[in-house]
Amino acid sequence: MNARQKDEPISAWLNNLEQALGSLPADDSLDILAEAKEHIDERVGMGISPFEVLAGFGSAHAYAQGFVDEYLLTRARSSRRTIPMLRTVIRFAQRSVVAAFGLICATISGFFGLWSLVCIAIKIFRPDLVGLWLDLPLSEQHRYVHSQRDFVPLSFGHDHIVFGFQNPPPQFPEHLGMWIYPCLAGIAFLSYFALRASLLAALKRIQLPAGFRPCLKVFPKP
Amino acid sequence: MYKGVAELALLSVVKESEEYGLRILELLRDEAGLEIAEGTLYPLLYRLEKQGSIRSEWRILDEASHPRKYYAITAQGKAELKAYLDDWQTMTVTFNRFLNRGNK
Repeated sequence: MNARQKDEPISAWLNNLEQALGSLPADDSLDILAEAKEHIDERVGMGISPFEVLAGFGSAHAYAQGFVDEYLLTRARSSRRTIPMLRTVIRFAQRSVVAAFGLICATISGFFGLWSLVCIAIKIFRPDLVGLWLDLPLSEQHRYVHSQRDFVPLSFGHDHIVFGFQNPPPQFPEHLGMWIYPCLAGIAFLSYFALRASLLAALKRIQLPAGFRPCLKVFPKP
Repeated sequence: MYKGVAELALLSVVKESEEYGLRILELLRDEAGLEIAEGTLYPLLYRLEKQGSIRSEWRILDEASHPRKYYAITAQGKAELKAYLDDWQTMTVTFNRFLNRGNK
């Protein structure tokens, strides 16, 4: 094998690696490329064929994926900002059960947070349509006449208890009055807290896919 | 079962002396008996460096024709290595006791 035949697969692999590392900061990317090149050159210099050396790295894309995943996880964990954390969890959700579960919890929390904010906004303009209605006592037949099901349900409860937005409002007493604002704000705050906690917990526990995680065999020493 | 073995072995290597990637790979394969590929080792080194367990530095030594990236353990890495070692000792002692339970 002449020098050109040796260099061609190595150059092609390094070019592919450079492209696959495109989402990393330039310093990291250059470092990884230089280290891979140094390793390959040294192994080829020992008389090992380029194909054998490159086989140890796997495909350039798969090799780069390990670095990119690690970079994204580290950045999201250290930033502790909601949007980057959410983006990273979404990215890993297809490959990690933990990320998928974290995303489900975050989505549920986000729904409650959004629901409470929408209710606050409606309450400001139509105070009569948002509240907590109780038809007491619970043991008796309820007086609530069900209206047509809302396209986007913004209330919880049924029959005796209704909480949230209801149009038309139920014909039994509303109990919270202006106290509904702190209640809804509290729910919004708790939902946001739960959303962040779900994302943080997922990011902390995400295990990188099997292609990257060390897959080891222990051999007896000869 | 082997979760953390690579980290344990790798931190143990760089605790003894500062080493570069290829040398670490040889040590893990030849002395620790671990079949570990380049495609696993370098991302793992990157991860440990990002989490602060090890640090790296490019050096040109007389014996080498080109620069090499050397890795060294940090104080955080030493603490993690101690924790990994404690876990490993506990696991091996417990497991050996389990395997030898019929020999008593």
